[in-house]
Amino acid sequence: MSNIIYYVSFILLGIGIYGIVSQKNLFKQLISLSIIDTAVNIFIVALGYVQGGEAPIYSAITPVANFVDPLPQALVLTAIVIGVGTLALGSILLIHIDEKYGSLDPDEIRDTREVVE
Amino acid sequence: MIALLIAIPLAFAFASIPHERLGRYFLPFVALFNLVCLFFFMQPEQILEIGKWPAAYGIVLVLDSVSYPFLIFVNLLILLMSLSATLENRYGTLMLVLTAAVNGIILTGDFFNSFVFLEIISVIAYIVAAHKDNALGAFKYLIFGGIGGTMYLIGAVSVYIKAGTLNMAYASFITDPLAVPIICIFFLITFLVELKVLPLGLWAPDVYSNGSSFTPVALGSIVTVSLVYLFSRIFLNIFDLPSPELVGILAMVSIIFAELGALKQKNLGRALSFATISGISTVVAALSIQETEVVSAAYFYLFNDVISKFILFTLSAYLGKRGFKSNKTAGIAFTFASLSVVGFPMFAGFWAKYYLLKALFQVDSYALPAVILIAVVIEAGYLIRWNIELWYKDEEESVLEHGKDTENEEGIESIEEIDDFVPFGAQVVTLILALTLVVIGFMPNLIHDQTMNIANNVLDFRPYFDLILRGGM
Amino acid sequence: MRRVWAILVAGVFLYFLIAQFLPIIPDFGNADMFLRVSFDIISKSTTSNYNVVEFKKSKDLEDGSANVVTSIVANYRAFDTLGEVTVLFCAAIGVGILASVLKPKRKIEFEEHRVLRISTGIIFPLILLFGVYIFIHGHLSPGGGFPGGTTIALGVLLLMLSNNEFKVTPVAKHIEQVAGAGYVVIGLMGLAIGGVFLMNFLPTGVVGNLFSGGVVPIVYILIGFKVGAELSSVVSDLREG
Repeated sequence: MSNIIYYVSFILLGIGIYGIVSQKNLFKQLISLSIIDTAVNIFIVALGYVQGGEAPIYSAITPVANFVDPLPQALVLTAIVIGVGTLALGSILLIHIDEKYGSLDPDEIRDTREVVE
Repeated sequence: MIALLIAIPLAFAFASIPHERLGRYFLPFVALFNLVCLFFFMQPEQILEIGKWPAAYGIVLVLDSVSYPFLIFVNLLILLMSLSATLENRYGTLMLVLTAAVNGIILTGDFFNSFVFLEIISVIAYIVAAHKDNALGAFKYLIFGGIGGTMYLIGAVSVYIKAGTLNMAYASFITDPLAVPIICIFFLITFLVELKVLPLGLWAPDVYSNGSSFTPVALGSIVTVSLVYLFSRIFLNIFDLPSPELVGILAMVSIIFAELGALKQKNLGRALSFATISGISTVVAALSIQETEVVSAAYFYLFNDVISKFILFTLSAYLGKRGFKSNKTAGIAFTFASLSVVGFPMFAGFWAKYYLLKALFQVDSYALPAVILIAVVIEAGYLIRWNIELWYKDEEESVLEHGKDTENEEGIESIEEIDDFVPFGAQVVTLILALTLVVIGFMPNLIHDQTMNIANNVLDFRPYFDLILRGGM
Repeated sequence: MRRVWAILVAGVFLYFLIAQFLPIIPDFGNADMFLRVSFDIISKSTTSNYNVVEFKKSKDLEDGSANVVTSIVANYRAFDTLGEVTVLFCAAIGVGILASVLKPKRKIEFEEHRVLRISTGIIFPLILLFGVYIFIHGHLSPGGGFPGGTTIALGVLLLMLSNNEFKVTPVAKHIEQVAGAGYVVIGLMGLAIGGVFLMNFLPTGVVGNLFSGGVVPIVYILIGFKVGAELSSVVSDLREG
C-alpha cells in the first residue's frame, strides 16, 4: 500500500498513452503528452523520498542534514523546463495547423488537403 | 579544453540573437573552428570533469577513440551543410545550437546530460521540421519525440536509482541482473523513435519531405549520426542490447516495409525519406548483431548512407520539379549518389554492402543478408526510375509549371531563382561529396580502417571505464 | 477500433510498468541514501572527507548553498542547467520563427476592465519584486532562477491581459542575449581561472548567508532574467505574431 504513489503515476502514464492513441483531436494529443510529462515528474520525485526526511535545505529549522534525496528533485526541475519548451512549441504548431486547414481534426484536415492538392 | 566544442557554438548562438542573419554567417566559422580544434589541439583518450567535480558526482565529457571519429564526421557534415543549405530567418542560430548539442551528445559521459542534449536536439528538430509550412508533420514528430524523450528520462532516472550515480561508466555497477534489461527497454523505445525504425518512425516521411534544403540533412544526417553513436555507446559499450533478435527482426521488417513504401511514392522527397528509413534500419539491424566485423561494416554502411542521402536530399530540395538538363553538375552528383546507395561497384556503397554481407556470412547470419539483397533490388528499381525521369524531363514545360506553382507561396523570389536554381555552394558541396564516394570506392581502406578501430573500441568496455577512473586532467 | 488499440497499447505498457518495472525499484520511502551520490552532495564532501554541515556555521566548503537542490542544479550539474536554458532558448526562438511566418496577422484581444487595469498597476511592481526575490534567494530558500523568471513572466502576462496595447519590446531579446552569453562567459571564466569549464571560482562563504555559494547566485540571477524574458516573449508571440 505504501507504493500507491507509484501506481498513481503509472496510471497517469497509462491515461496519457491511451489519450495519444485514442484521441483524434491534435490538441487532446498535446494535452495527453503533457499528462505523461507530469506523471513521470511525480514518479521521479517519489523515487527520492526517504521516510521522515525533510526538504533538502539547510535552514534555521533544519540546521543538520536529515533530508530526502535532492538529486531527483534537481532532475525534475530540468525535466519540467524541457516539458514547458515542448508544450510551447506544440501550441504554436497547432496554431499553424489551425490557420492552414481551419481544423485540428485529422479527418477534416485530410479533406482540406485533398481539396488543396 | 574539450568543453570548448560545446561552449563556443553556444556562445555564438546567444550572441547572434540581435540580427537574424548573424547566426548563418557564424556557422561555417564555428564548424571550422571545431574541426581545427579536433585535428590539432585535441587528441583522443582524455576526459574533462566539468566544474572539477569527480566523475560520479558531476558531469564528465569523454573524448576517446570512439567519439573522436564521430565528432570529426559530424562537424564536417555541419560545415558542408552550412555551405550548401539556404538558412533564412533565424535558422542559422538554431544550427549553431544544434552544433553544440550534437557535440555534447557525443562527448557526454552522463545519462541525464545526454537526455538534456537529446531534448535540445529534439526541440530544434521540431522547429526545423516545421520549415516550409510543414506544421502537421512537425506536430506528429513532436508527439512521437515527446514520448521517446520521456522514456529516456525514465531510463536515466532508473539508472540513478539502481547504480546511485548517473555516470555512464559507473552504471556497470548495477548488480541487480533483472534491472539492466528493463532499463534498456526504456532507452530502446527512444532509439527506435529517433532512429526511425518503422512502427515508431512513422513521423519521418512527413518531416523529411517538406522540401527544405536543410531539414532532411540536419535531421537525417547530422542528428542520425550522433544518435547512432549514442545507441552504440549505450547498447554495445555499457549495457547489452535487450533481446537483440527481436530488435533485429523489427529492423528487418522495417527495411522491407520502408523499401516498399519508397517504391510506391510519387514524390521524390517522400521516396528518399523511406529510403533513409531503410538505410538506418539496416544499420540498427547490423548493430544488433554484436560482432566486431559486423559493427564495423555497419558504421561503413552508415557513412555511405549518410553522405549519399546528404547529396540526394540537398539536390532534390533545390530541384523542385525540374530535371537535370540545364544543370549537369547536379545531375552527375545525384546519379553518383544513387548508384552508391544501390551499391554499384566503384562506389563506396559497394564496399559498404560487401563488407556487411561478408561479415554477416562469417557469423552465420543469413536472414539479414537476404533482406538486404531484396532491399537492393527494390532500391535499384526506384532510384534508377527517378534518375531516368529527372534526366529526360522536358525542361521548358516543367519550369513554367514550377514557376506557376510557387507563385502563391514565395512569389517573385522563386522566379528569380529559376536561372540558377541550385546555388553555387550546394553544387560544390554535392560534387565534392560525390567525388568522395568515388574515391572511397577505390580506396575503401581509408574508412574501413577507421570503422574497424571504432568497432574494436566500442565493443570493449574496459578502456572506457579505465579512462573515467583515471580522472580528469 | 481506435479505442481498442489505445486500450491495448496502454494496457501492455501498464503491465510492463507494474509487473516488470515496479519490482526493481525500491519501495516508497525506503530509498537507500548511502548508496547514492546525493549522500555526499548533501554533506558537501565530494572532494574531501565526510563532514557535518551546519547552518550558519560551516565555512568555505566546496559548495556554499544552503539549498541542496540549488547546489546540484547550479553547481554540481551546472552543465545540465546550461542545456536546460538552451532548450528554453530554442523553444523561444522556434515560437518566434513560427509566429512570424503566420500569414494573416492575428491577435488575441481581451476585454479590458477598469478594475483589472488599475489593480495591475499596483500589483505588477510587487510581482516583479517577488520574482527578483525568488531568484536572488535561490541558494537559500526554495526557488531559484526558473521559478523567479516564471513569476516575472506571469506579471508580464497580467499586463497583457489588462491592456491590449501592451507589447513585449525587443529589449526582451537583448536581455536574453546578455544573460545567455553571460552564463557561457561565467563558464569560460571558470576555464580561464580554474582550468575547468563551469568551475566555481569565487569563495563559497558561510552556508546560509546571502553572500555565499560562489558563482551560484550570479548564475541564478542570469537564469532568472533569461527565463523571464524568454517566457514573456513566448507568451507574447503566441498571442500575436
